[in-house]
Amino acid sequence: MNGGGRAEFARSAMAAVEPLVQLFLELGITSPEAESLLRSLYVHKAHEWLTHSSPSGESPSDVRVSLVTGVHRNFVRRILEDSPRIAAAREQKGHRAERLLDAWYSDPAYLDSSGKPRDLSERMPEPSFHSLASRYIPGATPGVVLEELRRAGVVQLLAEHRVRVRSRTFRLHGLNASNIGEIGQRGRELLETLIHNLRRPEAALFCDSMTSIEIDPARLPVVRDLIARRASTFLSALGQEFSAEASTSRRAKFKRGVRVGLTAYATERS
Amino acid sequence: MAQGNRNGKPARALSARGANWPYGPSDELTRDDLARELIGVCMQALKTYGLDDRRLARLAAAVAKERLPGVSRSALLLSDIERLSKTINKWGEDPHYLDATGRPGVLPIAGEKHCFAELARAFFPKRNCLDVVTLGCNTHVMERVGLKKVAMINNAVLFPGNHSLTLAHTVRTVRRFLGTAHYNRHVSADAVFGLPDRAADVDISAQDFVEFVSMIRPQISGLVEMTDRWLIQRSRLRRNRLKRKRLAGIQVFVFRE
Repeated sequence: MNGGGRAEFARSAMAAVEPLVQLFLELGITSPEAESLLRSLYVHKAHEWLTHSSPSGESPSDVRVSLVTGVHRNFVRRILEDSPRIAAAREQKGHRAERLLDAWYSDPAYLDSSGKPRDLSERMPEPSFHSLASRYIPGATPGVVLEELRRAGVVQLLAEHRVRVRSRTFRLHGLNASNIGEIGQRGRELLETLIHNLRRPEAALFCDSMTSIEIDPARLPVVRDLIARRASTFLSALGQEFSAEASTSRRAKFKRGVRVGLTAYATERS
Repeated sequence: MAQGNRNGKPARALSARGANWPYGPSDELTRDDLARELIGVCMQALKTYGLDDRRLARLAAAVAKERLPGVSRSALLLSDIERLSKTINKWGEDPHYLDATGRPGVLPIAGEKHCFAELARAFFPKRNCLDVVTLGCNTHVMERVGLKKVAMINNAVLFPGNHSLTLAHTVRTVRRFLGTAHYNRHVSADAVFGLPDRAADVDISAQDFVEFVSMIRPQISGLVEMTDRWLIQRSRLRRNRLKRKRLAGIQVFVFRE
């Protein structure tokens, strides 16, 4: 294929790949992760294609797959050992924005006197979102970072160009594999506890609620905010209190440990 | 001085003496040792504010001559701070001043209704609204948003670097603690628990201390906020309106010796 033909082909391929890229973006898959996945798929597909092309149906050598795909033979072997997947080295350990969110929740410059993340002005006065983003995601334009966080529902844009953080973790909202997985996990845990308590009341697990109250709908935002702050403070304290217990358990060699946790959630009914 | 007993010997000698343990309520020697230690602790602290021995001795002599307690200078100094605390309490509670998410909204400074001037008029009737804004900004309670608006940034009034306010705050804290100790000293055998007075202390490294502070700050803040809300709601109840009331609450702080 000549140069012009390749460019034409690339344009056509781009049209086909674009929706996939859109989906990857919505799922929070980064470009290095997608490239790694594509490389893995390329190698597997080349291996399958060469096998089918061979008159004897013989598996091609790693060198042959390497020649066809342009991937080094050492990587070919490693990639073929697993089904197509994102390479562990490329797998994003956390979204870049998580560094910023961590800092917003822990750097004293961005906390209020009660140790909670402050609402920040976009630019001025300091401390601002601009300085936070420049410090913790250097090289990225703070405006773009803000838009990305807003799109993910992690921050809320307030009046007067002020920004409020809503979550410590970067997670894309809506129906996606990760969020649905979490619903399953949470639902399973609650049901397991309730069923355990029915079966073994003598060894019941903690499961309690405050007495529900009826409030003026206009007060709902205040009450929601209060519940969120109190519960997260309590859960974080309990986590800290148990951290020594957890590190002792990590050192000890158990045959089978017990995973213990506590979940809190608010309920509302009209 | 803080560590000495009546004979000028180190306080450590008390335990070495080993006699009369546990000390009874009428052990005068022990009482005098402890009173001396308390005075010493206060004097040491006051010296950090620039008061020397002679000045302290003169002030102590003047206090000893007073038959009735004088005007509380600390209460006067802290009155603006208390008004400011009430201002931010209302800002953080009254639906008119909250945003759609239930948090204190960004308020226009000037205006008639639902603005900072309205709050300032309610709690600082004799002050200029802009002076209250300046006080709020200096005590890290609020910040200006542009020229015409303010945002609440803290729900506690801080006065770092202001020695007079810090000293007034110290006086109030010591007075409150002494009141609780006095009450608990006279608690009858039937009411064994008295007023809650709890402490937790362990030797830790400087690095762990930093982590401890960041861990405990939200807990303390939550506890104080919860107490504040409970007390305000109870004091506003119609059935309590005409009853005689006395100031009550909790005060929590982290310490490092």
